[in-house]
Amino acid sequence: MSTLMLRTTGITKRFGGVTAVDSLDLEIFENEIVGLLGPNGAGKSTLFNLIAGALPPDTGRLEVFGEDVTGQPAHRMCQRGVARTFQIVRPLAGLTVLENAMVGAFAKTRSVRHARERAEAALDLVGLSEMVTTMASSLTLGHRKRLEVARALASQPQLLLLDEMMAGLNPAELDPFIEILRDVNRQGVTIIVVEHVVHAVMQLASRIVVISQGRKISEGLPASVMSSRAVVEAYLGDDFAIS
Amino acid sequence: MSQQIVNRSSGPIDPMVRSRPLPKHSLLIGFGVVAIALLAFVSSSAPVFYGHMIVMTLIYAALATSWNIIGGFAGQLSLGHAAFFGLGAYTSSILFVDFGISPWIGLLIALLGGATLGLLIGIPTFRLRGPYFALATLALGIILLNVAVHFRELTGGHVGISLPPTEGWGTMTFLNRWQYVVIAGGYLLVCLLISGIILSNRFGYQLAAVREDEEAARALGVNATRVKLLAGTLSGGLAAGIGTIYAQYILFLTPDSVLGTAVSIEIIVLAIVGGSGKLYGPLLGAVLLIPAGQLVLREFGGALPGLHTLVYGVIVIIVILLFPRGIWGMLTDTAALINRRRKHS
Amino acid sequence: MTTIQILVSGVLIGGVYALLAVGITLVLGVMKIVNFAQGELLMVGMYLTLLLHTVLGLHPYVAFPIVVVALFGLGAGIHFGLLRWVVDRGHTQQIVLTLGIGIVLQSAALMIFGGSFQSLQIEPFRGGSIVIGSISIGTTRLAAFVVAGIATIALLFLLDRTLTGKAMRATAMDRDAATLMGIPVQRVYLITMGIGSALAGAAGVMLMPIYPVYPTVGVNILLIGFVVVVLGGLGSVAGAFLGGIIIGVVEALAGFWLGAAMSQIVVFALFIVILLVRPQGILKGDTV
Repeated sequence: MSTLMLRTTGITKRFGGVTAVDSLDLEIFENEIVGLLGPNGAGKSTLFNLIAGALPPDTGRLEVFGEDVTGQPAHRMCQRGVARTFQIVRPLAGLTVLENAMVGAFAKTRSVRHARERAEAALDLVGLSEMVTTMASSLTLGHRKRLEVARALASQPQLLLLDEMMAGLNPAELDPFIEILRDVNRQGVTIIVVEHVVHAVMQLASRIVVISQGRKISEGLPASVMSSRAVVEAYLGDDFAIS
Repeated sequence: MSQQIVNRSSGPIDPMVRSRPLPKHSLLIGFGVVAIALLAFVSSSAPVFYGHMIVMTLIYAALATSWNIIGGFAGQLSLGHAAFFGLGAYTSSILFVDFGISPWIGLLIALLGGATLGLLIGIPTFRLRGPYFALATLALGIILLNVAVHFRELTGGHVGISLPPTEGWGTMTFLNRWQYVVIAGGYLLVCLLISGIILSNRFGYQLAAVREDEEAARALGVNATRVKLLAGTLSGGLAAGIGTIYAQYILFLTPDSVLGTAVSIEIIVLAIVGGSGKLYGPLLGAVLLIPAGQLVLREFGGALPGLHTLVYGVIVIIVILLFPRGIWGMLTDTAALINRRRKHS
Repeated sequence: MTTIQILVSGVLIGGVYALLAVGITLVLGVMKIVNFAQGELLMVGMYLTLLLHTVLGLHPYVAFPIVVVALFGLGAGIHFGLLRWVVDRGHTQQIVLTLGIGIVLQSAALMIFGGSFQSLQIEPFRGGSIVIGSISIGTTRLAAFVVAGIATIALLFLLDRTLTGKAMRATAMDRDAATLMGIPVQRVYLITMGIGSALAGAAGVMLMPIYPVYPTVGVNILLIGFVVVVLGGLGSVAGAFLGGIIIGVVEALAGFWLGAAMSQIVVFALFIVILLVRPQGILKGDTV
């Protein structure tokens, strides 16, 4: 068994009367690419926000690299090596591409020179090295998504959380993007991808976790998970599963 | 490296200084010292009006530069910066008049007091986003104004405080103006140096990230609360220090002259018109607007009171509509454009 | 002066605060712009009332519709010429632009009317007051309060029952969705800014017989207006009205017991506390 990177135990988040994440247990191991699937409103993004420290859980426990990090704020999680991207990309619009990535790099270093080197390396990896001086606000959506990844990578994460990065990309952008993520993974970064675009995840993930209504309903290899009855029901409704 | 100049950036590093990261601070010091010496020489022989203009420009440039740390770099619109300026002015003046403590020590205490106020105010208010932070700081300014009006025994109330004209370096009081040029100019240089150091380090990048998108900044490992608090502390301290210098120059202060909402607004106008978030933006704003205002006031003040503020208002409107990045930003954009054209041809 | 007398004065002056605050909250709710020129619009309304009286001999209450319509035009013009260019910009730029507009109006008033205090004493009302027991109610103050109440109800009616009002509410909730539904958002903004400005004009007319006018008269009233808006819940019209009365009373009582400066300290400290503890406002009802 390889090293445990992330473990949630009974993690729960409620918004008013709605339980977005319902005592969920999740384990992620080193060097995996785990696809987190589920229909709209299943609680994927909330789970992400819980792991990234953007939201504190109501109950439950969050461990990263064997340490209890329950309730740690977002910036601390990033400094510990858990980086995330946003479902709706949030470039620092008034800064250049390089400066965006440097902000990420500063999570682990004080030195401007080191930050610049790491930022350049990360931008190189995602294929943005030609655009270092471009303003983030003038990038196309595809490039913005790459910048989101580069910025997260510049913080030298061990665990990378990608929230719906593939949605909205056209096929010409999608394939290189999947290649980039494979590259990142080969360099030793564990990745969790949230998607509701199923086929992109099937290509990429080594393991799939399906959640619905805040609960984990299935887990396993891509092919077996997608044929499971619970998953089909969750996605398409009971009628479809019966027929 | 030079290609970085071609792209406009409101980023933490000013495009004009970006290409020479290390020697730029020594360049700033060298240039600043020469400029101050020159201005001091001019002010010692120039008519009173122009000497006064130089000192006031330096004071307001320092004030706007200190505002820029929290308002420009961190993007937190402080509408109550007169609170710090006034706190500094009153602190050293009261210490000097009532306790005979030298304004130089008063200046240090003012710095500490302003920094403490910046920190204390920041702790609760930095949770507020957008216009609500602006409104809270506005209220803070009004509260301090009324504190100065109310506690008459200490502050003289509406009557204010007159400082004794005891000349000498020990009392920071002079009959001529060139000494004030040296002191205010030196202080401005310190403000610019601190700002420059902030911008060229991690702190500057993190402040810029918070300004652009606080939640994204947090996700990138920026402790947004801490960097904002530090910026607020520095900004408040520096604004308070220049308050002491102003008090020693004018030798008379009232609640309205140092704590009034008009002072807070003037600071913002200078910074925004010059280019907030840019190292030299607020300085440029002060250099353009303070002398212009004083000239208009001298020429038309008697016949047309209000004309100089009218000019201010019109300039603010024009700059916001046409040059939202301020005049400094407009100039660097133009320079970048020319640079790019030349490269392409 | 008895406490009840002070309470009554506070409630009545609160009506004027409410009128101004309703305008601020409407513009904030629909356009998401904090209008720092609202106090100067009130000042313009006061001077216009004064001018109509001295030049044409019009009684302020007769001049009321003229001033309100003129201020609607001024507000709409400010939107058309200036504000519409910054609707998509950050709040800093919006705030500084409205500050600039305020400075221009203030300076223009200083150039035209000079800096001195000018008051308007209208004959049938001078010294006119209704006495109930030991309480005396100034008729001009009562009129101001009644007009504030009517204006607020009329605005609520407009928002609730008319197509324009519904368009304004829809724009307030979600501008993009409103655009997709075919609502002409820029026209809605124009009308909103016009109404907000007209409300400031109405407040100006009603204030003129009570309070002297000078170029910076709007500054302090504006600040009180912000306190009222935050107290009432940002974007809430009914809340702004209630908030206006509450602040009127708090200010009157604190002013009587603690003095003018201390009452300002109390009011603005209260303001900061509300911002921190309950930024959505104490009296938050429906948004706009």
